[in-house]
Amino acid sequence: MTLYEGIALIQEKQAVVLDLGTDYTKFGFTGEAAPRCIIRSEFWCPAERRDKRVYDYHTAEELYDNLVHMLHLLYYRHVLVNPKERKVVVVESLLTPTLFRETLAKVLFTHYEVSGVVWADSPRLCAITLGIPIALVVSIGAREAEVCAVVHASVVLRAIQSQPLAARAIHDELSRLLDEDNNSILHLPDHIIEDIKVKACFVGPRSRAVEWLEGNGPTPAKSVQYPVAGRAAITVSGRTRELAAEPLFARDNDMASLPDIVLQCIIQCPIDARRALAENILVTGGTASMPGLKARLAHELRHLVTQPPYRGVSKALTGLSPVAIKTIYNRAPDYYKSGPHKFTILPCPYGYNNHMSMFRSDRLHVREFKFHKSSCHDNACAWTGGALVAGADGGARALARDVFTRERRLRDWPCLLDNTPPDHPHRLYRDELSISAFAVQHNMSTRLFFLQACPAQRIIRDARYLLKWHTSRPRLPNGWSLWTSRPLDTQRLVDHDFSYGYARKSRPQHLI
Amino acid sequence: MAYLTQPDYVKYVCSCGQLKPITNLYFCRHCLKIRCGFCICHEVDSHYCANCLENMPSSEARLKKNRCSSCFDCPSCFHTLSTRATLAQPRQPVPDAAGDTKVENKQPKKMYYLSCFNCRWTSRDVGIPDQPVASGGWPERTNPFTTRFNQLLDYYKAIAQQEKQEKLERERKKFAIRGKYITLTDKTGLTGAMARNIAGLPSSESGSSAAIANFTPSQASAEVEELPEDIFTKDVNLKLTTSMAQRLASPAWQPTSVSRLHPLAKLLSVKRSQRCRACDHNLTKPEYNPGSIKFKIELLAYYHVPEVKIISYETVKPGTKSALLLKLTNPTGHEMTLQLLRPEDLPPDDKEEPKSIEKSLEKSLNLDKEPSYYKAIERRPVLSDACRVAAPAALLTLAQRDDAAEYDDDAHQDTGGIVLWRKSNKLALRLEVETSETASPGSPASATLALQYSYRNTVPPAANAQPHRVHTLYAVITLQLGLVAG
Ligand SMILES: [Zn+2]
Ligand SMILES: [Zn+2]
Ligand SMILES: [Zn+2]
Ligand SMILES: [Zn+2]
Repeated sequence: MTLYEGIALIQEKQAVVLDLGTDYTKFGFTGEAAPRCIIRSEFWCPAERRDKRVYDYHTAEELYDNLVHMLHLLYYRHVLVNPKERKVVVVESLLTPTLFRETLAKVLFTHYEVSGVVWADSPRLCAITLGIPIALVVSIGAREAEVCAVVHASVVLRAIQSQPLAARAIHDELSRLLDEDNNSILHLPDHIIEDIKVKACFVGPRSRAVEWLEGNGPTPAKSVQYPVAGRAAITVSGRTRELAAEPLFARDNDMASLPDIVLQCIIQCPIDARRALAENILVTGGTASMPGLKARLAHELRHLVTQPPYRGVSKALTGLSPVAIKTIYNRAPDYYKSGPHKFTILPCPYGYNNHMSMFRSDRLHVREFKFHKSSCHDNACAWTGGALVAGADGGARALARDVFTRERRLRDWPCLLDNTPPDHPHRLYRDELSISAFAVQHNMSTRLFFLQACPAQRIIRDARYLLKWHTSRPRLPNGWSLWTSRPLDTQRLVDHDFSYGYARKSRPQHLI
Repeated sequence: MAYLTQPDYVKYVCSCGQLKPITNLYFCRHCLKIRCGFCICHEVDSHYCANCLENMPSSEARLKKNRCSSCFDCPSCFHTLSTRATLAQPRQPVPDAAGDTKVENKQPKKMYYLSCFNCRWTSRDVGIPDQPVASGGWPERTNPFTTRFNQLLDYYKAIAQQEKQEKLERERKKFAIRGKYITLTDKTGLTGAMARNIAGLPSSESGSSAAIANFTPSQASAEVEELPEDIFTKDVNLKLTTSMAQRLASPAWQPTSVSRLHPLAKLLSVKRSQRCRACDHNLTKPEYNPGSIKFKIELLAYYHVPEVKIISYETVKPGTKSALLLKLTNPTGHEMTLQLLRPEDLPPDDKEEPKSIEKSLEKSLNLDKEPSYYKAIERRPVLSDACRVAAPAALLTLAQRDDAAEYDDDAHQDTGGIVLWRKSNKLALRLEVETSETASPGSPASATLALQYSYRNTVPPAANAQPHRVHTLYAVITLQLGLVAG
């Protein structure tokens, strides 16, 4: 080892923060207020001779290649540092498919040889940019709108809501409305649709939306001619400009509109946190910067809360448990639909339905809604949180490379390995079996593992036990959802050790 | 660039399983393996500005956030901005209170502004005052969120500090119970805390708790930013709103209005050196001078591996044999013996490379470099076997590269055998492609061919190593022969 390397070991290199969004990737250094670059999540693929999107993949290998190319672009064209021996903060959604996380981990650790990775979920990072202990984070990105309740630096898992109400939904509607305006099927490419949205569209207030809905529309805003190279200009009518984002607010029987999922998230949270959540809403994500969107969401929430079922919640709300959501997410790529990774859902270990019974007779208990303005641009909110967290503790909570090489797996909240209580009999299995057995099939299908390793009766018995274990306690033991018995002024940094399991021993005393 | 026009008709199989044209491949002289951009390690070597070709030391580049201080890009179309000079009118003499006129500089003064030759955007459009010097001195903007960000950062640093302190405290208690014979010089940093205690100094915590106490969390408000009143009545001017690309080009500001665009300091580029992952030797190392496109080290496959080019081929039809003319070139300075093989005749990859003791010792010390690391990168190439090149057993010899012979243009026509002609280090072959019955018409016809060649290693051998300098190496090649005819 040369002297220079010795110095490098003492002086920790500034870590980088990576937020790989569906459409845009945010990348930069910790401790800086803004990312160094926000670029489209795509790279030039010479084999296919086109720009290829990172999320355009069918197999794990293809995803691996995509990620290698994307990171190459980010490291050597934009941020201009060596990835080697440098920590990375990965900003991720809690619903990121397991295949994606694990492939990303493989790329970072083995291909780019980074020294450690901090896995941080975006809702908590967003809350961190506010410096408040309780926040309701409404994140509207490219594909999904996600609503997560952050209570004392923990995400209330069972209350996570996710619906495909984001930029894609707006683009589809805008494309439809433009076809109507121009009386022809235009087949506009995505980037033009996006440009029209950015330059001309806005979200009208609720009062006008109601008028539009009743048929006798209000006086529309001015229409505009949008010039397109190589063809006639496109008419963008005032109606189109105003109504493009309407699918986000369209209520139907599923109660799956954006304001609905916000209220459902609140309602599934502990009763004594609800008011605080409603009074600490942060609307963020790239789509949130559409003019008028935040105001409209506020109107809708204030209206909706006076309507049934939210006025007096009498029936159980339907909704998927987060584990079920993640299961579906994982199965969504064709890769999981066939192939060896197919797995069955065991009864939800969180005892979701039993918990729901607790809330059945509750009211929403919310009187007013208040909103935060974060100290960063909407599209880089989670990224900024990542830059703060690792900037504050120097990435001390990173998963080190040697640990990853040894264990060959990531901790993940739906994984029974990580969320099984320490005194549960399943723990014995875990210790009996060598780590290598897990390494073989370490993707999230620990459930699959149990199915294969145990006879059928045993699974059922254990599942029942788990269910009982989870429901017999006044609070969820996994540190995710915490009741408000703690002082409100405690704020904690993101720590995956706390968040992914029962590693309570390492929790600071005053926080328990 | 194996062919001026893509696609790449001839691809080599890299040791990691990727298929690449020879111009994209490297050859490690130490492992004697073909490597590619995917399986080697890239390293940032030096920073420079691609516009003014000015080098910037890495430490300075870090300070300037990898931006050149004298070159700017157009915020509107991202073209490079040019500095333009104008003559400023001397200011009129202003009579001051005393009544006597102060004589100002009468000489017309040269003033500079930035202008884009591509879209005609100028720094005057957005009200940036002209500058008296040609380069630099342009007003810098500060991120409006920096102050708040730094408050938050201080706050979280204090919290992190406190958490650390508490952890130490707990550890200390644990140690105290165990007994008094624990050493104070452990690596937990306990010593510092204890020393501070003993000396009666205030613990470092007090500073952090002040930061925590002074912090003001964000205040939520019932008011939300409503739409501007005039949005329903005002005409839209698409030219006044920025596009996504224009906004994201400056992530810290993201201006929505064209009037807020600001020249973008040019992002630096890097020169990269490349390293073999298996043996850590450099494969390429560029010269430091940004104007130079030369390399200090340049182990390209193009200089070490025989190059195969397609001269012509007959249309491939299922169940038939078709002719194929190939040209082989020996790029090395030594004579080369060559033999064509079928890919399945290749000897299995020799796992047991003769290793010196020091090398294996190094391996065992360097735990990070365990072989399973490369397994993640390696993959099996997808080679179709619908078409196959009939491999004659003949052993071919190729002369070394001789730059003088380039001017010698009489090719030796070979009459017999598969050799069509020979010319210094080049050789044309007449081969046959067998296509199986099952090849589906319309699918791309790709034939696979393996090459065995002798390679003279020019790396000076280690003192105690065997002077074993001529190696037999293999390369697998795929040839794109158009589409299978119907
Ligand atoms: Zn390779
Ligand atoms: Zn420059
Ligand atoms: Zn321009
Ligand atoms: Zn090598």
